[in-house]
Amino acid sequence: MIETWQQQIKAAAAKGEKLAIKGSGSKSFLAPVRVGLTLDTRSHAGIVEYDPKELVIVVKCGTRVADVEKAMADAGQMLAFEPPHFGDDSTIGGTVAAGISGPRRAYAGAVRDFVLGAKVIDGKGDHLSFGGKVMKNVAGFDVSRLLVGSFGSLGVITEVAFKCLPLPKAQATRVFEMDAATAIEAMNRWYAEADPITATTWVDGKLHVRFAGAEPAVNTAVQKRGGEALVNDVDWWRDWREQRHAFFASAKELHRVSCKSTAPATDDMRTAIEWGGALRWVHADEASAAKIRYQASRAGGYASVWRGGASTHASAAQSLSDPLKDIHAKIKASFDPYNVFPSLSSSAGEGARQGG
Amino acid sequence: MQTNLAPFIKDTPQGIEADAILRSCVHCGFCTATCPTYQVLGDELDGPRGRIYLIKQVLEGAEPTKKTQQHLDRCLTCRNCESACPSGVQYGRLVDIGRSVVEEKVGRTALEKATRATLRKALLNKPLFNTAMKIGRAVRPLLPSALKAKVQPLRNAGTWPTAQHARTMIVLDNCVQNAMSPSIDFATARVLDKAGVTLKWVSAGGCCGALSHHLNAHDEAVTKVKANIDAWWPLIEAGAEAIVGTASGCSVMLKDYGHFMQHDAAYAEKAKRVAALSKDVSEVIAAEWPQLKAKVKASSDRISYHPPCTLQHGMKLKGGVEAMLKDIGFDLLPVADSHLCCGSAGTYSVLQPTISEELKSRKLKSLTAEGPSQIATSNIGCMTHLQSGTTLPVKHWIELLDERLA
Amino acid sequence: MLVFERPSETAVASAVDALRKDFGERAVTSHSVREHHSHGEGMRDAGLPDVVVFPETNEEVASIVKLCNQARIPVIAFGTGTSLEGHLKALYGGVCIDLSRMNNILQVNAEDLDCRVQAGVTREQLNAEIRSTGLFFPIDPGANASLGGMSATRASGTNAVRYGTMKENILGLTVVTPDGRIIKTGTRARKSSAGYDLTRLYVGSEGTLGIITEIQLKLYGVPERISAAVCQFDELSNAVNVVITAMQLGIPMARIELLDEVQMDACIKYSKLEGFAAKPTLFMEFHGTDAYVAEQIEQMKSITADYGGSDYRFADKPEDRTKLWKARHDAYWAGMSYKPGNQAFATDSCVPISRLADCIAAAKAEIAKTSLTCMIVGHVGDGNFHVQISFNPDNAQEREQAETAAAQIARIAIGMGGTCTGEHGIGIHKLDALKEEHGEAVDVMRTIKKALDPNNIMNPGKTIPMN
Ligand SMILES: Cc1cc2nc3c(=O)[nH]c(=O)nc-3n(C[C@H](O)[C@H](O)[C@H](O)COP(=O)(O)OP(=O)(O)OC[C@H]3O[C@@H](n4cnc5c(N)ncnc54)[C@H](O)[C@@H]3O)c2cc1C
Ligand code: SF4
Ligand code: SF4
Repeated sequence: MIETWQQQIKAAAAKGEKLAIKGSGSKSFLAPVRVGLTLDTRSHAGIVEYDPKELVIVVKCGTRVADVEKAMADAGQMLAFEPPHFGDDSTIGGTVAAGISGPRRAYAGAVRDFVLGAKVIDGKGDHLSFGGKVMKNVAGFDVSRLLVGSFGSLGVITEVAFKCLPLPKAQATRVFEMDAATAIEAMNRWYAEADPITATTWVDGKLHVRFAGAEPAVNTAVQKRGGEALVNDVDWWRDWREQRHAFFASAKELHRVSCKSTAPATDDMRTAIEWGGALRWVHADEASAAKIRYQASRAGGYASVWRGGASTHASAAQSLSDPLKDIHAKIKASFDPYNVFPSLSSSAGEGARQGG
Repeated sequence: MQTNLAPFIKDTPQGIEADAILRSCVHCGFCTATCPTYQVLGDELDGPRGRIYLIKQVLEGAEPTKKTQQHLDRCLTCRNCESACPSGVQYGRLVDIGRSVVEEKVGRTALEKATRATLRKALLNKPLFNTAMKIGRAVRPLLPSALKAKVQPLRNAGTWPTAQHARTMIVLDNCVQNAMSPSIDFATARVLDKAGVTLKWVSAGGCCGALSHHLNAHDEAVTKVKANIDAWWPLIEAGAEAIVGTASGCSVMLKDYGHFMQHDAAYAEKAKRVAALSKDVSEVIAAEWPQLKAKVKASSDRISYHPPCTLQHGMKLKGGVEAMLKDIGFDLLPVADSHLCCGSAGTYSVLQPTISEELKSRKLKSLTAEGPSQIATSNIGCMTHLQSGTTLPVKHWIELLDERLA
Repeated sequence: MLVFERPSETAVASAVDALRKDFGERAVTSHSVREHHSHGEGMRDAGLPDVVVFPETNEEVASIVKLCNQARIPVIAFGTGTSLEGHLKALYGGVCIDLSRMNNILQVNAEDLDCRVQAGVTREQLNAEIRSTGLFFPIDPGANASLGGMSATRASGTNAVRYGTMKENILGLTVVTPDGRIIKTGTRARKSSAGYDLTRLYVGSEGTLGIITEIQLKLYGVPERISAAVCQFDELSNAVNVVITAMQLGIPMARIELLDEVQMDACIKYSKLEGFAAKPTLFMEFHGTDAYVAEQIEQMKSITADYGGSDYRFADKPEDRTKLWKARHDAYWAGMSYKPGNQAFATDSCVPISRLADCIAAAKAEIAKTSLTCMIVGHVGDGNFHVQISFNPDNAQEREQAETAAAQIARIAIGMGGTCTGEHGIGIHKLDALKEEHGEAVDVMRTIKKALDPNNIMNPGKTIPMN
């Protein structure tokens, strides 16, 4: 498969044609507009190497995230950034290229923090390997992390090595009725006080806190913080991660705000808050979009349209200053000198790219 | 560190000693952050690691410049860095060697020479210095404040005890101290008298030699050292138990006599003996403390104490004075950064006034932070230097003890 | 090697003049200052810059870089000069930018658990200044390095297993680009940056892509309970296997450090540790709540018992803990003073945790082939360890043995799916190993370097082999 892709890319480069890369399409709503021949990564699937004792898993790009998670769960391990699938067949390559992480993101780290190495076919058709299988590697530029969130604009990610973490021994979710301001304060303070928190979500007047880790630690935290138990919390968090919760369904236009975790809540728009306060989802309309952007930038962050909005194309790139744009162009050209792959600024969903 | 000393010094005794010291330094820089001049100036080359490196380069054949000399001159020789160094680098020795080599190569300007000579001569010439201090005191009210600061009113020294005990000790005839503050030796004599020891004072032309040594007047220093040894020898033969230094700056030099004279066939042995007998007054008193303590009238005054560098870093005597002061009942206040130099450092305060003043004000700030009623220290240099910046009395701690025994 | 033409003397002279005019006494050309800025630690083969400048603001840094870019003169950033791989050697002369005067902590946002510092702030300075907030910055390489230098080398320390390395703890940067523009990457928002993750690109670029002038860092709350313990072993392999087991069980150790018997001997002597034998040793630290720490310790005890470990010596009091970790941090110096006058190479391999025992055994075998004193110390929890190979630099044979052993150990690690450098970086000493490890991928790195720094003025000759 790799050779075929290499040839296709070389041919496209020679002829000045475009190529696009696609997995299952679960995150297409975020991805660059595709033009030209599409490489379907699902034809390159499978776990290359997984010895749980190594705490590393190496997988091909087209492997279903669900399959990877299943194999790891069988060995008592997990992908700790808790990737949202947004579809049953979502692929590992797409997850890395889109660079989005789930509820555990604020506590365990983002996709990029778990990518130890990656292989990629660049725009010249060369198959290259960056990083490796070790926890720490400072040999040369950190290119494998540049690929995270690159949306296929730099090349075809063919293989990724992830760091594995053991599944927590115990888990409990507690629910607290409180307003947004109180919730923001609590999320930040409890985390600073080193509670074993692995996810937080405030929605519809309720703060959901997931404690996980060793049993005594979870028990102590539950006792200390109180709240109501959430039964079936595994399902609840999965629904939340997959954006199947009613909050998402009812949104006509959804904005994603990434900001400092203590930024004050905006009470005039329907909002959900997760990642300890650092990520906000806001129901919006044409009129309130500008306001949301303004408030986000005041809170040290970014707002972007996630779903349903108009006029989002290219706005991510527009939000970059000139020197940054210049650097982006140069990086893009370093990987893809003949412009075979779509450029980042033609992408539809800037939202995810702020996901990190 | 790897070294490769140049032929001009390689096989000389100085070279061999310097080489061993340089090799023991691993360049870790733990000393640098604690160095007072580094703290003030913030330049690597004004800290011990930088100076060591400069000296290394010079000894390896690099031509030193005026700048090199300035970096070495700015060193207080407080030896704080030695206390901080985990590798046991003998910086004090190395900087002595480095300075003499650099001075040989770079020389001194006429003005520098003149200042240094005048300082030495003035401080070493007893009658002259005495007179100067007397005149200074007489006209003190008329002096501009900067100078006034250096000339303090004299405390009444009281009387020297007359009792002749079987146990005797010798006190060093100290160059500047007797003129500036004779009360210290008198107080020491009275305290030791209470402990059943007669303190003998022999005139030997004054000075332990440290002053000349630090101003790179080696021959003059040797002369001083020999004169002292000659003057004390009969008393040592007669059974004097110790040679007491009442200024820690002198004590540290006395203890170094053995090393200092090691290449002098005639004096090497005697010097070793003298060095072995030399004690700082705090060591001598600590040995007699059980009996003295019983006689002390307690005081609960709030005081702060400044341990001179020569005491804590030079002789590595830490905590002894503080323990006795606490025993007396004094409320000994905590002092931040007590390991740092006050900026007096022998003649440093005259030769490097800016850094010296900065260090003095920092030191006084920490000494007075908790509101003491007086300040104690162990060295005449620190005492007068600190006194010049505060209206609180600054005394030798032995004077405080003497007062509590009176 | 490359491919950089030393600028003409007149070009340099006029740049120096211009810098003198702008910076006065903060542009220094004295030999001793240039010498001090011509090397890091480790092998001290110096290459002198032509001038050292001490800027105080982002704009000043930008003005220096702009000038150098126009005149095609190399620019080398200098933090505290503790890097070990020849990073600072001015191969082609040029301007050294010493960031030590940019040492202000710009913001501490206790509630947001972050802060913004200038590049010259050192890690100890930061921790001293934020102590009162109950927060700390965990990354602690064995030297009191500048945070700019730590960012530029992607440094890590003893607690990477728990808190990660520099790359996981930097939220954003201010960088002066090679053409003298000031850019900001990342934001206060912890998880955001529009477009490519430039922060990650600059972190670890060793001053070859730009000068980092400000850094936004994550901070952490000081845990409720901290407990440190020491366990000694008769066999090195047993100690290593304990680490592997603990990692595979996912025991969230804050720190787990391995010292072999020679290193332990050196540390006992240097740091005056009492009551320890010169045997293979693990230094451990546990963070969390009382109950949680107690449980971690119980789990660890049962593992060490399986491998014949000694009883634990605990250091719960802050001062005892400080002494213990200071001894660990000073291991490099302990090794240096073990053989006064010697030099040392410190290898820096990192391998997948399951290969750690094999790799250390192979490294030991390599050492045994030489007549040199070597010691092993490492942040083994993440598979990283150092062999400090001590040799007499005046003895050509010893030097050659040391070089061969170091290269061989790097090769062994790469062969096991590992890397030649887990934390010290490439500098000039590991350029060949980088090629061996990354093959063609180095081409892309080179292309990026050429694209972002077309005149190759930023620390030329380092990090990326240019041919
Ligand atoms: C005893 C000892 C122990 C060590 N232990 C560790 C350890 O445990 N873990 C570890 O990772 N490292 C360790 N190191 C290596 C060293 O401390 C780190 O590499 C450190 O990050 C270097 O920081 P510095 O400020 O000294 O940088 P410098 O040595 O001054 O510079 C290092 C490199 O970064 C560049 N640079 C510096 N500042 C900037 C800036 N502001 N912008 C752009 N580029 C810049 C320089 O040009 C150079 O290429 C150790 C070193 C020693 C001597
Ligand atoms: S003797 Fe004092 S002033 Fe001189 S280098 Fe050492 S600490 Fe600094
Ligand atoms: S602390 Fe000692 S070994 Fe370290 S640099 Fe200073 S003198 Fe050298």
